[in-house]
Formats: sequence, C-alpha cells, structure tokens
Amino acid sequence: MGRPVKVENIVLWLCVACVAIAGLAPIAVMAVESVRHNGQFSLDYYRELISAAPFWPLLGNSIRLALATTAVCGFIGVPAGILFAKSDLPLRSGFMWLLTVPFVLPPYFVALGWARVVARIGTITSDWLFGFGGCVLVLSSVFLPITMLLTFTSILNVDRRLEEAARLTSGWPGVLRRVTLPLSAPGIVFSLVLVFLLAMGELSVPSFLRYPTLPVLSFTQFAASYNFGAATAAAVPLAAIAFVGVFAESAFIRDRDYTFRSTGQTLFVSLRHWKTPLATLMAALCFALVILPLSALFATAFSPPAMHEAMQRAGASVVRSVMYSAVAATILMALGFLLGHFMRGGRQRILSALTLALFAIPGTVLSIGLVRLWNTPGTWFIYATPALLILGYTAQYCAVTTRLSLAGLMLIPTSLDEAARLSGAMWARRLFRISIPLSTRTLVCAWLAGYILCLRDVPIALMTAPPGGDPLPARILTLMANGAPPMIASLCLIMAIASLIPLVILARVIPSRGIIE
Amino acid sequence: MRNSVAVLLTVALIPILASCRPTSSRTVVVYVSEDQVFSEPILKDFERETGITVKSVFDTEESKSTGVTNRLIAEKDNPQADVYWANEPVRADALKQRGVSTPYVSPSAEGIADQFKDPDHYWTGFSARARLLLVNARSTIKPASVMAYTDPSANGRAAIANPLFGTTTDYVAALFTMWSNERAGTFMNDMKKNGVKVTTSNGESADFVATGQVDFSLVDSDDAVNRKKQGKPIEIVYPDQDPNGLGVLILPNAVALIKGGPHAENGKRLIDYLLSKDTERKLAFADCAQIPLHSGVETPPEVRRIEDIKTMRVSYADLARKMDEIQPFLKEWAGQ
Repeated sequence: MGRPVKVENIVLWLCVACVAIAGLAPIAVMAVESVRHNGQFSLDYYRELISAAPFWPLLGNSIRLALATTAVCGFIGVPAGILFAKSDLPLRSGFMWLLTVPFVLPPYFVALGWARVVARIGTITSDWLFGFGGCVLVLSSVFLPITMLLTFTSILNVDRRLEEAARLTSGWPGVLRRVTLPLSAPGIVFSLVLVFLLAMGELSVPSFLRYPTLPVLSFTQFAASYNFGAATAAAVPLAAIAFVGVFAESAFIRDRDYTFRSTGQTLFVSLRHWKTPLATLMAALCFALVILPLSALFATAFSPPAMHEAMQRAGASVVRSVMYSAVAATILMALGFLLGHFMRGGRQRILSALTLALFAIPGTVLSIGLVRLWNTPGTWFIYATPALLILGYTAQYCAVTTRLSLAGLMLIPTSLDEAARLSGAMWARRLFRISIPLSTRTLVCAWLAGYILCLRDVPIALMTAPPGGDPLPARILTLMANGAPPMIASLCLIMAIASLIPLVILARVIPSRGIIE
Repeated sequence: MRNSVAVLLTVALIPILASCRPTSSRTVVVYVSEDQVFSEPILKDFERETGITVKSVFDTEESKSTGVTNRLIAEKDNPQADVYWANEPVRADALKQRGVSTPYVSPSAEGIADQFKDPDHYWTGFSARARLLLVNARSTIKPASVMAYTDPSANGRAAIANPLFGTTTDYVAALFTMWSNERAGTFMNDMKKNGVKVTTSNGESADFVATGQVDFSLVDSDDAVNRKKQGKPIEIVYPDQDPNGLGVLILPNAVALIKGGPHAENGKRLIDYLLSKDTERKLAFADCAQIPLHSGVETPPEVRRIEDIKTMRVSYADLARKMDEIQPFLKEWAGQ
C-alpha cells in the first residue's frame, strides 16, 4: 500500500502545471522551433543571427542600455529608498508615490512625454533624446520605483533592535553602513537585477526612441517576417542573460537570511538642517522625472474635441483592459498565494528561480511562444480568445505576486499553523481559516500589483490580443501611426486614470511605515 | 470517486468543446494593414449600417504593415480572419501566391480600372496612395525626380524609409522592375554613397523634412498631406512627371477574401462595402487623403484625380515577385 497523496501536493503540482502551461511550454516550443529548419535539425537561424552584421552591435546596445539604466536607478533609487524609509524628510510619502507614477504607466508614455518636451526645445535635444541618452532617461524614470520601493521595504524590515544596539557604539552613518544596508542588501540586489533584466527586455521605449536593441530585432522578425525560428534565435541571448541574472541573484542570497521580520516599527534619522535642501532636491527630481514629461504629454489632452475623439476611439478597449487585467490579477493573486505558501514550506529555490526566470524573459519572447503553441484548429478557444493574453500575463507576472505573498506569509507566526495541525486541522482548513484571513492585506496588495502590471503591459497585449479584443495600451500604440497628437494625449490620459486609481488604493493599503522617533 | 469522474468528464469534454467553435452570423473578422486611425471609422460605419460586428486586428508602425500579412500566412491551416484589408496590393498578391486568399468578384468593383485589380480576382484595389517627394519649404534643393537622391547637391540632405519594409520596398521593387537590376542596384548604391539618411518609417522621414533635419524625402501621400494639414513648412512634389519620366508609383489599398474564413458571407459584404464609391469618398476626405479609383467620386482640393497623374505602369504581381528577388540585396543595402 503506497503513501496517501496529500491534497496540498496535488494543489502544488496543479500550480506548477499552471506555470508550466502558461510559461514553460511556450518557451520550450520556441526553443525547438529555433533549431528546426525545413523540418530538420539545424542551427541555421543561430548561424545567420551571429553572422549578421547588426547582431553584436545590437547585443552590445542592449547590455549597455541595461547597465546604464541599472546604474542610474541604483544611484538615485537606493538613496531615495533609504531617505524615505529612515528619515524625517518632509512630504516623503508624497514624493515616493509621485516617483512611482511612471512605473504604473506603459513605458512609452514617458518617452512620448519627453518627445513633446524636446519638440519645444529644438533639434539638438531631439537628437539626444532619440538615442541612447533618451532611452536611459526614460527607462530610469520608469524603473526607478523598483529600486526605490524595494530598498524602502527591505530597510523597513530590518529589525530595529539591531540598529538600536549599533547606535550605542556608532553614529547613524556607521549604523547604516554596517547594519542597515548589509541586512537590506538582498532586497536591493534583487531590485537591481530586476531593473537590469527589465531594461534588457524592454521593447516599446527603444523602438519609439529609435535605439536599436535585440528585443526590437526579435519583435521585427516576428511581426514583419513572422519568422518564428529567427525571432526565437534573436531572443535566445536575452533569455540566456535573463537566466544568468536570476541565478546570480539566487547565488547572492543563498547564504543570506532573506526573511521578513518586520517589527512594524523602525528607527529613523533626523535630517536637521539637511531637511530643506534634501526636500528641494527630491522635489526637483519629481519635477524632472515625472511632472515635466507627463504634463507635456497631457498638455493637449483636455481639449473637448480631442477628449471626445479619444473616448470614441478608446471605447470598449478601456473596459477590456480593466477586465483582462482584473481576471489576470485574480488568477495571479491565487496562484501567487499558493506558490508563496509552498515556498514558505521549504520549496523555495526551484519555484523562485522558475517564476523569476519567466518574469525576466522579455514579453515579446513569451508571446511568440504562446502564439506558436496555441495556434492550432483544436485550441481555438485559447488562441482566438483573451485566454491567450491571460496566459501570457500569468506566466510573466506570477513571480511578483508569489514574492509579495511570500513576504506577507513570512509575517504570520508559524506557531499558529503548527498548533492547528496538532489539533488535527487539514491543510485546506488551515489555509482557509488561518493563512487567508491573516493575509487579507497581502492578497489585496498582490491583486493590485498584478492588476497594475497587466494593465500597463505592452508586448503581450500587442502580440496575443484576439481580433477585436485589443487592450488600451496596444490600441494607443497602433493609433499613434498618423493619429492626431491631442487625441493620443487624451487616450494616454484615460489610460493613466485607469492605472492611477489602483495606485491610490495601494498607497492607502500599504502604510508608509511605523516610525518611532 | 465522484471527483475523479468529474475530472475525467472535463478532460473528455475539452475536444468536444474545441470542435464546437462558435461562428456567429453577425460577425466578421478583418486584418488591417491600413493605419487604424483611418480604417477604423470606415469599419465602424459598416457596423452601424449592417449590424454586423467587426473584429479587427491592426498592424503597428513597428511591423511596417507586414505583420498581419505574415500572421495570415501563419494561420493558413487555421484561418481566423475573413477579410484582409491591405494598404497596398503587393501583400495581397503574396497571399494569393501562398494560397491564403480566395477569388471574389465584388459588384462594387465595377468602374475600377483593371490595372488595379488582380486578373484572377483574388484581390481588388481601391482608394490609392501615391509615392511623393516631400520637400522642406526653406530648402534650396528643388527635386523634380527621384534621381535627386544621387545628386551631389543632396549629399547628406535626403532621407528614405528603410527599404526592407512597407511602401519603400514597393518603390524600390518598382525601380528594379522598370529598369534593369543593374541600373536600379547602381542607383540604390549611389544613393547610399550620397549619404541618404535611412529612417524607420515614412512618418519619421516626413517629420525629418518638416523639422528641416533633411531637405527632402520620398514618402506616402498620406504622410505628406498630414504634415501639410498640420501647417508644417513643406511642399509636395509629384516626381518624374515629364513625358519620359518614370511616373508616380500608385499604391491602392487592396481587399481580399480569406480562404476558409469563419464568416465568408459577411466577409463578402464587407468587401462590397470597402470597394464602394462612398468608402472612397470618405477616404479622400479623411486625413489620409487617398485618391479614389472610381470615376466621379467627389474629392477635396488637395487630392489629385488619378487621371491627372502620370503613373508608373507596373504590374503588382511583378512587384511582388521582384520584392522577393531583391530581398538579399535590400538586406545587404540596409545592413541587416
């Protein structure tokens, strides 16, 4: 007689199956496709890619862009996160959420805003924007919140008792350098790896700002040539770099205690006479990175004719965007919570690497695989419906909701679960009676994060939406060809409103911090 | 036990559900290469007038109007679309060559010259664009022919969209068809030596001219009229109009019925609608300012009548074949 199969194991394998169907299967199909030519094994696509003149320059451009963006985000985002978490900076909460705004919008919005700014200045700035410099500026604005918020969260989770002990023998600079930052390092490194990978895989900004990178080449191979093999070959270096990034991060945190043990309160530094200069600096940063480009973008959005046309053009795509994102966010929330639950139970390494690798793989690559896998007569109910889009969102973003859920679950004392288990409560009962009720805020945060990420997504929306079912970010992009600038601005405004509502809710759900002076 | 039966039943039902694909009689699926901003209002009008819901897939600027063509080719064994609205006939002809489309003689096509129709009725042209020279009004260079690209006075002062994509491919293929391969190849290489700026799209070329970054560029008539309406300092030149000149390349929209599409009858109704004089009038008055191919259609002043233009006499099927033939040359020329 064999061992009885536990319900939790069945659920775990179902969750893994979901991730595999949504993300791993398409990637596997692509990998096979790229080594087949005319029905036979062949490395021709790779040979052609590597021998083609633009491959190495494009790979170089992608890496250069990702490194520069990561450096800028680290240079600004980490100090900003420390300042917001550990200081009495005036208006810090307002600054933090304002700097987060570009992240919840489709990345090309900021690029479009800067294009409007430089159009008023002249051709010299235009030459600079439409190239490497402009791409770094835009991507840094968009991804800065990742380093800022993860630094902020990591620092808040440092046990204040350690800092208090250190304060007995050292001043604040020493405490930050020797205690706070080393204990926050895994979170900060994770944020930098994320920024690097996201910048590597970004499509819409380099494409709009005419900076040639590998994702642009991969998308062109797919969209202009519908050459799956060549598109996959062009994407493989990106996927390989993504995997290297994930394993580097994984190796870095291997021997570190990366758990969340927030006491709910943190010590903080009084800035004294530095308050005003630092607040002014932060205000200037908010103006330069957020207010200037977005106000330029929305400047023409409020004219009644433009707004009227935009409403007509956007129409059902706004509703569709919200619906797709809400459905995907619900799936992501449930999947992330269950995966987080299992990861807490000791299955962390493999699940973490799996989901993070899918997050790091460019959306274009994942979409290509999804189209290739599901475009068959027997699977029309996936291919010809929004299900394909939802699968793409699920595969790409389950790492985020999984990590958020894990972070929230770490705050629940394990003794509760153990006591229930000793009382004879089954796994499902413990899940529904203990873990879920105590994780309400975590679940809301995970749902909102999933919703925001799906709503702002461009590559998956563009390549997997069914006929007549395009979400708003994809629709704006297709309307930009010869669309009147005021109408485009109004469409962007509608999209921004749809994105900012959940951000406002998120700001209210997440307390800025529990401070003790 | 009951749970296991439920799971087995669900698994067994999947193939049955898969075979029950809904084919609503009030729907038509159309893949569109024409800019969404111009094509969507026409499709909305069709919806309003017929009550048939139109489900569309539009091309992005990045895919250079070949994305949906290739999607149609990839979906050949599992067609999702009923109609393809191409922004030029060469792509529609490519679908014919690959067995993706099927013949249809629309009653609305009567009155459109045979030059703009497929002889076997696999596609029909309507509302055309022309390939024009857009010139900055402050420029000292006043080109009257595409040969200006190789003139030393235009060194570094001209732009052209990447010839690997879109209507620029058509134009280059037309040169290779009208001239010999050798002459056209020499022209392209001379253009490159003369420092032509290669842009990502005709829209970008038009912006370069409008902002004075270059003096002139070959663009589509809709890009030209669009910049003119925006009040940009530009002039529009119909090139090579002298009696021995090449003439202007005319690129009509083309519409094709997809073989095995799920809503063929609705597809035919949409094709009839697109080929009507009323649609041509709307597209002439829209910002794309397209040239009607039916005679007697009302047009705005900025839209020249087709009979007033010296056009290139090329077969679009020849263009399609030539495009395939010159791909290696173009890839090398564009450095890709």
